[in-house]
Amino acid sequence: MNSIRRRLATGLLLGLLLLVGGGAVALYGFMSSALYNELDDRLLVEARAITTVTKQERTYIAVGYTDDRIVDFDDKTPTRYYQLWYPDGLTVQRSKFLPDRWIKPQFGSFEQPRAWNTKLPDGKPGRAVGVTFVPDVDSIDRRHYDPNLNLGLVVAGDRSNLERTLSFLRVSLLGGVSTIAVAIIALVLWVLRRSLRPLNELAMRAAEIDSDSLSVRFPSDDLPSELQPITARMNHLLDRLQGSFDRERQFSSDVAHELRTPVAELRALVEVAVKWPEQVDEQLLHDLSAVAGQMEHIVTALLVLKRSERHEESSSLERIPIRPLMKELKRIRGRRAEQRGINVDIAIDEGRVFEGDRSAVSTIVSNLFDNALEYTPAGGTIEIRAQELDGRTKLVFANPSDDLRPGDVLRIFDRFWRKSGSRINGEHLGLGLSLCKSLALANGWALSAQLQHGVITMTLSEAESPPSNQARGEFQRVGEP
Amino acid sequence: MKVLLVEDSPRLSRSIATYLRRSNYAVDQADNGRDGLNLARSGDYDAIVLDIMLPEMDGLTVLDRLRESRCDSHVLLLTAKDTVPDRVRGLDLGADDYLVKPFALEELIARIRALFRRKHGRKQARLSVAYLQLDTVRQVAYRGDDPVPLTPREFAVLEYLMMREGRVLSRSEIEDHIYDFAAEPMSNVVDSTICSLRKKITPPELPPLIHTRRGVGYVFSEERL
Repeated sequence: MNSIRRRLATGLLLGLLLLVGGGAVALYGFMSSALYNELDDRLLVEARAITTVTKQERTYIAVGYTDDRIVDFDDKTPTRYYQLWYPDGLTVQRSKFLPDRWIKPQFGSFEQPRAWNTKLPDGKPGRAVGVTFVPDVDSIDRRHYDPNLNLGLVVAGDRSNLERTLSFLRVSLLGGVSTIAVAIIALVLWVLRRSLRPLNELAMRAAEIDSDSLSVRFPSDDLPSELQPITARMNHLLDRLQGSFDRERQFSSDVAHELRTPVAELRALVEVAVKWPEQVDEQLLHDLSAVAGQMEHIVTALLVLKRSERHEESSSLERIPIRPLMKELKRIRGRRAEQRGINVDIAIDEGRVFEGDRSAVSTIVSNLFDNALEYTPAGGTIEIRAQELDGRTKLVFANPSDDLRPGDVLRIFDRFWRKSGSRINGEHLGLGLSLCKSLALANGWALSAQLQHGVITMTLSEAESPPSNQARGEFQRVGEP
Repeated sequence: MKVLLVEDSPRLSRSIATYLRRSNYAVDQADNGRDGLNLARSGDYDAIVLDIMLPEMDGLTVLDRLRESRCDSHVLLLTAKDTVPDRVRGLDLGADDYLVKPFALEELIARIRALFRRKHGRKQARLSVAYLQLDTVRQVAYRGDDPVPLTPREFAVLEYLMMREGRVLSRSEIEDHIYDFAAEPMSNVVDSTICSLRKKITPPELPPLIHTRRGVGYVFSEERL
């Protein structure tokens, strides 16, 4: 299992134990080296003493020593041994109780002597130091002095004490390291448990969250600074998720609600027809058909809206000339405008373009136009303008409105919102502006509404930067069966 | 019985009104809250069927204002909102019943009948005075075990009288409750209907149940008052 606790524990414990172990090993090595150096130095001193009393005579080498001076060497239970060799390997002199070939000599200089462990003749562990030197002459007459006469000298001593010391050191270090290791393990685990507690609490809080408890938020007080950005972000995501769930619930509720009335109409018509078959006439059949059409219209409109919200429809970027688009809309809707005595004033430069998906733009402007046409009082004027601001084209629809209040503007893009409050209107479901808003958002455009002095102004603005390229989509106009 | 139907869906309103009229109810209709409120205040309706989502003034506001003006007509709310808070709100504002769309028209009629009975302090769907029984569900009158054939108007008048047993009811009052707004009542229709009823429900050997109060109106009673 991938676990932060396990990773931290493993890493910390391994690291600390390695450190402690390495330190102990280093300490042991240092102590061992120091002890050996000390022993080597002592042996070297002894060797130097021997070289001092070793002289070149005319035909032989004299080693002048007394029992007092090198008593250790000739004691019946010696702790020191020495042997001198000629360059050809013959022995010059050696300790009394030394057997032949007791050692395989190695030689260095006094500056860099050779030192090694060996077994002493009595079987004890020993340490040997080997050097070469040229013995001096003992008289003023230096005619027989041979400067090339390199004698080899090995001095060996008992290292049992050193070994005991090192053994004690090893045991002590092992015991100490073990104790420290146990303490480290306990401390690390305790510290980890305490330190990771906020993370555990976060995990437990997260485990409580499901679709029915999205109002739960992560506390940010008393949290370690490393976790605060995470909880802030998670709370933000929960806000969005809760909003999304609430919208879905509201949407489902709206759908059910919107379909209830047509179903009620259908049911009532059929019940009357069943109970009084003589009531079945053309009007009733027409009503049945109209209700079925309305239900289809509702479902279709909601599906279109849903697809636009999920960005399921793909789109492509075009530079769309706006003036021809508006002119065409005015031509198509001209009769309706004429019937209501509404004037449509379009003031858009010839070359003005709107960059975006053509079908989305068409759907939005059609719905905005239709809304303006439907709710402008008779005799009023719809003004359609295109402006450029900060390099972005803004398309503006402005029309007078008798019955809108400032508070209505906040809800004007809500699904199924109609000013009248009535839900019975075969043509207007209250989804047109919702679809416009959804399409605008999907394409990175801004769509806003303002109400001032009885005039409602809808503004559609291009994106700040061109939206990413998507394939063409298919949108329907919402507002007509 | 006279019912005020306030529903803005033309199709639904037409269907409900047809069903009610074919069931011998007089029905006045309004398609927005404001007209509905005005009608409710100006008429004495046995029941008001009120949709909630109405143009110009929503149904709950209409209900609230009705109760503020001390109108005690029984109100049945029609709505697509079926959540508990919605129902509680409607009932707390003074509705007597609540019906969620879609509904069976039979159920609507049954609930309206229940409101009638409640209005007149009656629990049973069958009215019984002396030798006469009236089955308000089947819309049939019985004298003993024998059914008495009545026209829809005669049944409506008889039901109206029996519901208000012992009360003197004027001609105009009776007329108001058997004709809806759209109808143009013929003159003397109440008198001729009463005359016809007397002949049908009371044979010569039995005491009359419908009595005339000269200059005032009619009263339905077992005893001559």
